[in-house]
Amino acid sequence: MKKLTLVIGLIGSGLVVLAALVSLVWTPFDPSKVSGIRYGSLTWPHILGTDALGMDTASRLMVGAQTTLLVGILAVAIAALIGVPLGVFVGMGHKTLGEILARGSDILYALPALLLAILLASALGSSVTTASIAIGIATIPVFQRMARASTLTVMSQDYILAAQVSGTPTSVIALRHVLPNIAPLLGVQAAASFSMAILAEAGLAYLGLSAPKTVPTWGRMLRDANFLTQPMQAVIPGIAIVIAVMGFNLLGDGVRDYLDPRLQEVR
Amino acid sequence: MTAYSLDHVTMAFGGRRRKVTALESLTLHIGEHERWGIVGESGSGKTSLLKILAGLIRPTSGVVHFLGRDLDHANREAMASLRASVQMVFQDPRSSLNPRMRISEIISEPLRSPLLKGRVDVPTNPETRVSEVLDAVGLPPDAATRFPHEFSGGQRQRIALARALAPRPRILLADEPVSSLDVSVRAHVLNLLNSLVDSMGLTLIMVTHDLAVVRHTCDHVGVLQQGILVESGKVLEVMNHPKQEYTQELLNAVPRIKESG
Repeated sequence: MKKLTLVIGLIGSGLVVLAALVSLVWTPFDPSKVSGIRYGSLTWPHILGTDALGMDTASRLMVGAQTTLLVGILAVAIAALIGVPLGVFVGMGHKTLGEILARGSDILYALPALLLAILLASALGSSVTTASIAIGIATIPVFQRMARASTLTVMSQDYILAAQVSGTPTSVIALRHVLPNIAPLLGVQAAASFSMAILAEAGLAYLGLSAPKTVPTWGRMLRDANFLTQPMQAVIPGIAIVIAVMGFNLLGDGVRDYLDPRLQEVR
Repeated sequence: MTAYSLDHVTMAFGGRRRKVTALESLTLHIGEHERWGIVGESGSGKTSLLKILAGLIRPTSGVVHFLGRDLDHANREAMASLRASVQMVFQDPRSSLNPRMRISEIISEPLRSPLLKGRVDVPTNPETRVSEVLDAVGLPPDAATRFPHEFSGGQRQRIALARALAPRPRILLADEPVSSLDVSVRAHVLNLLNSLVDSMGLTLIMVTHDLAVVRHTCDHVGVLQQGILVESGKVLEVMNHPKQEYTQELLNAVPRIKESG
């Protein structure tokens, strides 16, 4: 059962990564080339059809995988690089500062990524980067909380006291003891946030707050499809989003089960 | 020379509303090369006392002298000399050894501390020191490259002991060092502790709830009851002629084989 989760996760996320990598060197058609066939049905050579402008859906789907991965990586990187140090810092003491940060993170938590994205899009112009930054900032509290909670657990261990008895500096304790012990949990969180970011970007793109029309993204394809006349053009990017979100989510769960020492002892 | 001299040390936790007094006006003098057993029930303030002696927490009031010097947490030099001479062994080696570090890294950690590095009384070459102390606690040299979960409870406590001895401390603090171990390995670890304290001429301050352990290892005993030191002195005197009812109760709680006759 645990293995199954990991396998499905690996297949799902592997498909997305594969599509993105292949699209760097080869796609069936030029993804932004307008062919004569508009609203093409799912027949050879356009196996997934063409959209309203006659662009090849299969090619756009593959290139869209690049954007999807980019959004996930950028958003998670922003969230983790700011959230984790803050969480560890708060978890290791600094009570007053901790309170201030905790309240600040509550405020950020209450602010949905959508609002931030509208704000950033109006200030910087809507693009994939803007959307990723907005999603990343909105995810900071998730990492901050998780890092703080797991840091508190580590700090209650006697090996921290042993290090303090020898006069090991706090910064060294953070790097040598705290970070390695909270890393597995943060990895799982990163995978979960990765899929949340993909979903959020698809939503923002659907609302026109992410990539412009020229850049193929799954959310944008969903937006541009006409569900009544050509349902498959909406279903295909939808399925792609589902595969990516589920794939990375299950990958995170699978890796967590695999790494958890308590579960390992049972095995 | 006195290792520690505590004068009316009080330790209180919590705020204005719920204040818990862990130690109350405790006065105690511990000479060098003495072996003290601090006994008392859980919640009697034993662990707080040990943490004060280790410089991990600062007493609410009272004065602590360490090797004749005021233990002032703000004084870097005073703290550095404490850190260089005092080491501690904890109750549960599952918690006191970082599961993600190799044994060599765990044992050499005190040697790499900036407060200890470069001092003449601290061994300079970590690698040779690690194999020296591993040998001293009866573990094979190849243990250095392994991780804590590959060892049994008794072996892990030996590793914790090796880490404490690595920087050649003068004083060893021990918080219930054998109570988490199986009865069968307790005696081994306790005997090892005894012989190491002997051969290295250490001052030992051990906190325990087990008077049998104190009788086996220590020459002095202090009895704590709800944060108050109710009795202290030489082990034989206190055990044979307890002045306090509480000490007698603790003694009665120790199971012993009746002498025939």
